[in-house]
Amino acid sequence: MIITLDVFSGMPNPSWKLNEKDAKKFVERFASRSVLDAENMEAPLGYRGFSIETASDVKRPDTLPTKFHVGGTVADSFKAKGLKNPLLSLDEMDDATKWLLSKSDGAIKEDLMSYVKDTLKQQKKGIKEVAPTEIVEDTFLKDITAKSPCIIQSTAYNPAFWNDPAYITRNNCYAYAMNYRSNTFPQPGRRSGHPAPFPPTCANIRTAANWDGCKSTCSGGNKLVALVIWPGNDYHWYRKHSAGFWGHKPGGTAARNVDSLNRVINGTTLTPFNCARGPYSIFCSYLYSPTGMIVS
Amino acid sequence: MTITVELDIYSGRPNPSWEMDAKQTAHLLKQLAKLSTLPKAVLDMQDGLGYRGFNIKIVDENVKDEAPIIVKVFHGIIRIDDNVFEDTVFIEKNLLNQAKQNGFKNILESLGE
Repeated sequence: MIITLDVFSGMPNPSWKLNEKDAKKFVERFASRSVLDAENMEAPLGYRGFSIETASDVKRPDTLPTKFHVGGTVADSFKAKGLKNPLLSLDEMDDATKWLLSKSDGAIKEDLMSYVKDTLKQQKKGIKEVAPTEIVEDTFLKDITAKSPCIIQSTAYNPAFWNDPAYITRNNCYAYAMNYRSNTFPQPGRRSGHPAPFPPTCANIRTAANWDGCKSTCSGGNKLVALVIWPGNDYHWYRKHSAGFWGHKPGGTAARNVDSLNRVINGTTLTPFNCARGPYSIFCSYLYSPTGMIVS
Repeated sequence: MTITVELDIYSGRPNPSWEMDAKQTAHLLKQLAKLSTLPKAVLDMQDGLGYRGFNIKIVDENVKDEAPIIVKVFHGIIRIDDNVFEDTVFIEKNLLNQAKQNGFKNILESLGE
């Protein structure tokens, strides 16, 4: 489950991932409750709440949409009529947002965290916030890419999520590595409008993936991924998991954590660099996929 | 009847596929009818990076709302839904020949197929 703090207008919003246990806890708050999407919310400059996306390897009850909004201010134009279930109360919502902040695991810089906490306090007291945006846009994120610390937020290994017969053939190594089940057999650069030319090479696949948000240097919260090439034919990606080993998904087949010789890619003696990779003979490099990256 | 064959070979890029002509379709259906079931225990379709066989989709346009039949062919084993067969009639060999005629000769031979 990917949480994005909706706060900036020009710079990318900070995102982080809830582990499976926390995601389950969070979802329990919405049992028999309705949720809203971003269109139902006020969109002021500054703090606007949290966007919750479940299109990653986390189990989700059918009652919850894949994307919804938590926190922020409900738009005046919103009519609660027709909702199947009640929304969270103000106190429950306040508790949920604070809990989300407590799970941000370094994705939110200290100054920004103080600003959001202050805003939440003021909102709870019913005090209208005063020009929160200047401080957000001008001070907090001008230097996010240059100065944000590198945080590797490795994700849990959850092959069942990827190997579900309804989705297995619609997602490939790129979807798996970037941890976004797009169901479009995603291609590097397609989402950003910069697809890689044929034949695939380290340079052109890396560039296309970078257009989608991948990075060659680490700053902020990221997953560690690796790119390899089958010269003249294809590319392949791996993703490091929180247990230390690497996972991958060859095309429309099952996600796994073993190499072509059926050995666990344990992250110590065996890595994407030296594991058996069939015809994918060129190891390009390790790359950083920002938490919350979306592919298509 | 429309039969689409997908060469299962890529990881990132979409797999190449082609449609069988009438003669190939009739031949494949005849071959499939000759197969005899294997116990599931012998199923060994270990896949990975590189050549992973063929995925065949059979659609009968004359049968309304019928889901396509999916056939997986790999290393001498054929799976149709939950049933497993031994490829005693050289279906995979025929498909490899078709793939080679469709422009994948060099790739398949470089993989030892």
